[in-house]
Amino acid sequence: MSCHRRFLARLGWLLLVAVAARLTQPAEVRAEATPEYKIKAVYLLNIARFVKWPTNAFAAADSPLVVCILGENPFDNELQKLMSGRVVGGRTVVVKQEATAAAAKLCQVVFIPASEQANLRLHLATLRTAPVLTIGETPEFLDEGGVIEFFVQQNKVRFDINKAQADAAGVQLDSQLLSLANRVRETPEKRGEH
Amino acid sequence: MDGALKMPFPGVSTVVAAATPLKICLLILAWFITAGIAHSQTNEIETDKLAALSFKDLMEVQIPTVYGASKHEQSLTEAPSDVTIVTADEIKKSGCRTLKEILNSVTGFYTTSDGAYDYVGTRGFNRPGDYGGRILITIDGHRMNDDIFGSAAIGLESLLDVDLIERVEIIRGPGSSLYGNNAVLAVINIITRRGRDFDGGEVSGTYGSYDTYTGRFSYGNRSTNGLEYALSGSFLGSAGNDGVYYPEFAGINHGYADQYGASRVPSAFTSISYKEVSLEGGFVQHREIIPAAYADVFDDSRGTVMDERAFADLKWQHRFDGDWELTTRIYYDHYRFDGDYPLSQYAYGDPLYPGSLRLNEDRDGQESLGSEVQISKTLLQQHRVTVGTDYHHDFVLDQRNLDAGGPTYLNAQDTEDTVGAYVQDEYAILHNLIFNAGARYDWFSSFGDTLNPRVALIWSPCTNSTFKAIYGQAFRAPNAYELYYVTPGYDSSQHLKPETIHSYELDYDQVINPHWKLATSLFYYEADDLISFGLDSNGNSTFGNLASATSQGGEIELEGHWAKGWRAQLSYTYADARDGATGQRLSNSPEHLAKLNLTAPLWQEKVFANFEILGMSDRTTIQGNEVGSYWVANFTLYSREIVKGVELSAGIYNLFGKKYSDPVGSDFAEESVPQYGRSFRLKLTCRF
Repeated sequence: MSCHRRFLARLGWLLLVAVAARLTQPAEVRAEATPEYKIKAVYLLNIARFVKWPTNAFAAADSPLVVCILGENPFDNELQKLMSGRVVGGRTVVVKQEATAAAAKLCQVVFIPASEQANLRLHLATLRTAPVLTIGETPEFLDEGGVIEFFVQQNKVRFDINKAQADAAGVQLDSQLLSLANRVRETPEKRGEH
Repeated sequence: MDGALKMPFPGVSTVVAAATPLKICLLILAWFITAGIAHSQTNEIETDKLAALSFKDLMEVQIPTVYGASKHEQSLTEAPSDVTIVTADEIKKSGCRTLKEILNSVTGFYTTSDGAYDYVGTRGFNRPGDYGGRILITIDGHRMNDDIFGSAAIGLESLLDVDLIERVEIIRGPGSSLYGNNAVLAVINIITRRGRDFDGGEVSGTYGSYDTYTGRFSYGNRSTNGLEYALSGSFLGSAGNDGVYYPEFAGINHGYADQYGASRVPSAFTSISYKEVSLEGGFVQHREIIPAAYADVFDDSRGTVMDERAFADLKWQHRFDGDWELTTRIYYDHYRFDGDYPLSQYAYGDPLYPGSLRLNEDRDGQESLGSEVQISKTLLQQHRVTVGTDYHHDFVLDQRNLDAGGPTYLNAQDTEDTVGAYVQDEYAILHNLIFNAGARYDWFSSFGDTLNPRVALIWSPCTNSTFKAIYGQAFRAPNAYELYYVTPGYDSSQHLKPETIHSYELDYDQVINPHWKLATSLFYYEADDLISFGLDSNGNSTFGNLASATSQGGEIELEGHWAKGWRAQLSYTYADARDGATGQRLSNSPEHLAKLNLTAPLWQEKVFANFEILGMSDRTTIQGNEVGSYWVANFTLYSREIVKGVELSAGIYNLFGKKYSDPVGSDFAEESVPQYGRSFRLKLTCRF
């Protein structure tokens, strides 16, 4: 019986060591994006296909289409995996993470996650005049001058569009994209004012 | 750390020490963890698959959520409870035949059987003889616990065929702040498959041990004009198991009962919706021979029980401008219980004629109507407020007890009214910090009122970690059986108050890497005024708020997912539940629960093998004697789409034929009853 016990004990240790080894494997330590962000990542790809940027948005004719995440990255590796290397509108996509809005001015798509809520007004003020498609997920995003705002309704990701701001930035949105939006704001007035 | 870790392990190893298959299984697990079968992660939502969808289809993809924790859809991490979701896919792969088997695989839950009914318990509470009324079961939000015994039906008497389940939400902890009565230890909400999930017809048949066969026909669809419907009918027949040995009755038929558990169970379920209106209803009638329960005569096939449960629920949901949502519903409930118990004549004091028998009968019935109105609105962007009220009226609440062709001992005809009102606010203080507070007030015509709050703080410091701190109070109202069942030798117990429980819980969930997820929780429960059977001052048996108890412990669950359907889940629960007066461990409360579940794809993504081990440490009976620890293993092979539209499954349950017993209530002659041995089931499902 004691031999039996010893065997079990050894097996237990082996198991613990195996678990520890497995859990600490550096190559694998990357979090999984939540289903919501996996869906949002695919939205970004789909939306980008319906947008035309002014030529001055790119440094050269063969410049890549740069998709940026401003601040903390809620997609983990998903956005990178999905979009990097794809060709959208004749340009190869590059995914970047930027810490400041000033740096993000050089991107064509800027996703501002909910974690940047505190800095949202500043970020959007910086990006307002740049030929950038800004996409956010906080309720005041359009009011503060963002272009596309994600929200979740009945478990599904939906979006509103601030067309006035898109026009101001010189970013052209396809009518198909506008038709899929929940609401399209044509004039620059604020939501609460009418 | 070392000491804290070591403590539970000796207990676990004694649970399973004698088992060689355990070693095999541990080795398999070690291989799972170390072998590096690391492909890209799989989950139900995959970006690659989503990218292949059209934009319009993408907009229809749903984020996996839980409904029952807050009475609206929310993500699991935002729920004010520790939630587990069991999906239809998992149910198929693990070959679960009943809701009981689904719950048995869930971390921290355990079920026991008294030979007639099954009872589910968790966190140290599953007292024999309580009829399982501390867990609330709902089907698409409709309360299923009956009003006579308060039972949560999980066995064959459960209304819904498991094939009709889309997902099961297991919401741990107190839920009375939203649901009122019975939501003490957990709320189990079953989401049914809708018309679109069938998208045509389905025929299914099974054959298994004890000459048990089942058949089901379902049809469902969603038409372009918005009408969606699902209809289903099922039947189960079983010849019963004559292979369960009762040592207490070794003198009668060598201790075996013929036709033990022989049953006939027809059931039907339907859901219809058009735009904002939906109607849902179901029916089940369960008849079972119980030659070894509730009676002092063994092996008499006249011992039977019959449960009949039906409901209809009409719902209207409307979303108004300004983000507010109204849900109203009206419903009808029906429950009937017939119990036939062959008793020897001397049971009521005539030992001279021990040979003559009488058939004692219970005839109980419940008919109810109810309604609920709920409004949910987002305020100031950071608050989601839900308020609701419901009214429930039992216009029939009958209990009769009589001898066939003899005297009537009880003829209680009662009615009962219940009114509830609840409010809950989810306040997003920061984007990663939610404060959830709610309370519900209930008034019962039988005993008066009770107020039950719940508060939870939910913090996600980063996307992979979630902490929850939850305090809640919950109650179980005395049921009609406890209040009004008064026969000779019993006393009226109409002074009963509800049982209350105060619970404190800390949860920590961590996504470790793309494959592994860890979920842990610590809990402390304080139960007061537990309704127990005892003697009053006249020496008569009666129910009273006689006991109190505490339970403390923890749960840890490690879950792994890989490509192609590989899955591993390992969980351990420690619960120390003790009587408040004596300090003794509660009866039918195992200190340790250990579970292991492995799924492996054998061929493409079409054939899967599932292996499961469920272990439980020793428990005590209501007399304080010990019932030994045990573990059982289940093995299932499942295949789909080898032939288009055809699913096949073969399962062996209690693979190694482990013999064990479960403690039972005081209305049994014996303290514990032996459980089924090895059994099998074959299943074929065709879609057209």
